[in-house]
Amino acid sequence: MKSWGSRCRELDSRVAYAVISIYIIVLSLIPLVGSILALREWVGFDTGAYYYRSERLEVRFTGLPEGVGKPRIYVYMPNSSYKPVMLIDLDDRESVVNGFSFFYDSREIKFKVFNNTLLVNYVFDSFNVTKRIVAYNESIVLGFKSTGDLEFRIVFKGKNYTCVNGVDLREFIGRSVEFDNITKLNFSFESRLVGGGDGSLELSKPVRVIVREDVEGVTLIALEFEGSELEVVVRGYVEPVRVSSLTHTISSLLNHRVAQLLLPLVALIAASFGWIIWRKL
Amino acid sequence: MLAALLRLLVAPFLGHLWDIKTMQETIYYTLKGENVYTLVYTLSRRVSESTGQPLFYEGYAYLPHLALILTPFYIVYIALGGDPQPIRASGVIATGLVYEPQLYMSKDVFSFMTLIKMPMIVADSLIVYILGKRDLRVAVVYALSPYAILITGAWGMFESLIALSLLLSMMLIERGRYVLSGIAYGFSLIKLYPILALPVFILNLRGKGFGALASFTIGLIISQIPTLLFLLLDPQSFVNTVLLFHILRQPSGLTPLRMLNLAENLTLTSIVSLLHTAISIAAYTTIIVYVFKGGVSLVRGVTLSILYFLAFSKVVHEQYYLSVYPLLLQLRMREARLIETLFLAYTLINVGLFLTSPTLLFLIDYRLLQIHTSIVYGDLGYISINVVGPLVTSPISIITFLVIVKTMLNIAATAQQR
Repeated sequence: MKSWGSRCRELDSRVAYAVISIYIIVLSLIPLVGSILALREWVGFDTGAYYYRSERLEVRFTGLPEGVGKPRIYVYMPNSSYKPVMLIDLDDRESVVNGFSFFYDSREIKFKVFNNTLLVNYVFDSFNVTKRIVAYNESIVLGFKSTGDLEFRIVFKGKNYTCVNGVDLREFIGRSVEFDNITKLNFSFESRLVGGGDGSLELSKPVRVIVREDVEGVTLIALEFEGSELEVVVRGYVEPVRVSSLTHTISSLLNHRVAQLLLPLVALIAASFGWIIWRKL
Repeated sequence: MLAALLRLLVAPFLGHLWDIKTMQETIYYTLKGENVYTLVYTLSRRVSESTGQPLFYEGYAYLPHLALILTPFYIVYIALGGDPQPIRASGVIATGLVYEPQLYMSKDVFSFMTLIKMPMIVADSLIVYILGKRDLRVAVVYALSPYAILITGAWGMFESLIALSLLLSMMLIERGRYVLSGIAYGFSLIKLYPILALPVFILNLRGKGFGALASFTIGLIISQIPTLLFLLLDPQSFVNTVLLFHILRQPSGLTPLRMLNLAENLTLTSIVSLLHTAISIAAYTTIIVYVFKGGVSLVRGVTLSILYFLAFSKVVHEQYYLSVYPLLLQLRMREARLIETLFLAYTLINVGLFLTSPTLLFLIDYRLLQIHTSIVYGDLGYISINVVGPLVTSPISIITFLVIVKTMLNIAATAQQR
């Protein structure tokens, strides 16, 4: 028969474990709570990395060490918690001003954020360029403003694009399509996993646009213009599709929202497993 | 000898590139007459000002003793004709610079790795010798420990210096050499967290009389002369780099707070970290009161205070456990080896060999790390680092936290029974 002291120690041990477990479960719920609170404002999450999330769109601006995703724009399917689909990505490595790459040649990058606006200032040796990203529920406005008239080449990339301004890209593999002095670029994409969708770039002034295949499945869109200012309004829409439940589950698991939902479950399992070890130690 | 040999076998070929580069830059600029704390603080300000976020440059953030210990070995390396900067990085300054593609190495990196790790390997060997004098089985376990070999021999971390300093300071108290004990303890403060053991030392020495406490304090002050000199040289840079960097750092490593990485919100993370700090202070106070009232032995008290740090610190990196591993092995071998397994598993999952092997990088060109950014188009790189990573490492962190807390309770319970 157990002694009174031994029973007390056992009870103390259980109480200690219960308190620690509750603390761990509460911690695991924080990311989900944070995600709900962070709707409709830019949130910093890493070195120079920010994201904005609305019901329809998600915009990610990747951290300083990365040259792509400056920003990367995703769209959510209507009325669905399904993983968002990448609409378009701005590539700072290949985007150049007067021949200087935003990523490789800028001396310094400075950020300012307020409500739905993210300002990124690129400091080059002899000029500055400010990139303004304003996120709305239905669209994203990308603004470029320089300290003088300069030659810009802004490079976007997109996945599984099939058609641009009525031109079927599958007929132009290995060749580029050029549009002179246009103010709007419509594009469509089609993915086996997520279905199809449409998007558009509305430009504040006529520019030259070159479209070509970058690597397999990735389309490069380069906007070329001379001046000190350009505004690009990005819009996108994804058609919901029927996919197998397995595909749906796997694909849905790999995103932040579901990971945030999964975390409390993972914490609960770990805490339960921890109890077995706790008792044996 | 066996311990040294095992570590020397891997030392030339593997290394935690970012941390070894930090040591290299520290000695390189110190020998050029620069104040390394001023340099690191300047870079930190650039990172936080440009990003507008509470972030720091991850450079030399320790007391100057480490640089003093490593400098003679660096001088020997230079005398042998080595490249002064065998590891170079260029490009954007960021905390995640280790993932930066522009990292280059000269062929001298192998001899540099070997020589710069020598003090840590010697420290590990001395630990094995000291443990062997008390219990041969414990010494063999430490000598053959894959975790200790990985941290000291492969990565080149300096936690073995902290562990040796703590062991020596306790041994010297046993022998009544209080000034030397104070000096040895002072060297364990290279990384600040062993300061948590100071109240335990004071409480223990109090029982040995005022003379013992005064002698220990004199030794501790002598050991901190280099610290005071650098503090006087540039107080703002020193305090920011050595103290504030650690206090304000974002949670990382083997801590349940790692779950906050999925929160994707630095401001929210900072608030929760602050609440966690309040809980931690309460836990630490409980431990010190317990040590004060319970008459706990010095070894148990010091072990408890370092284990407390591993359980409650918001930054628990892979190498931290090594500083308390030899102490815990003597007290609770079963728990010590279980925690070792957890830290080892985490180290291999979290970093793997890819980022730690210069030879491999020589063969495949380090710029291939751009794969990381290229794969991002398929979201794979991003998902694996930011989504799958936290989900996989969180359970290990939670279990490690629970095991450490239970180990602390077990140590406390056995101390009470005695």
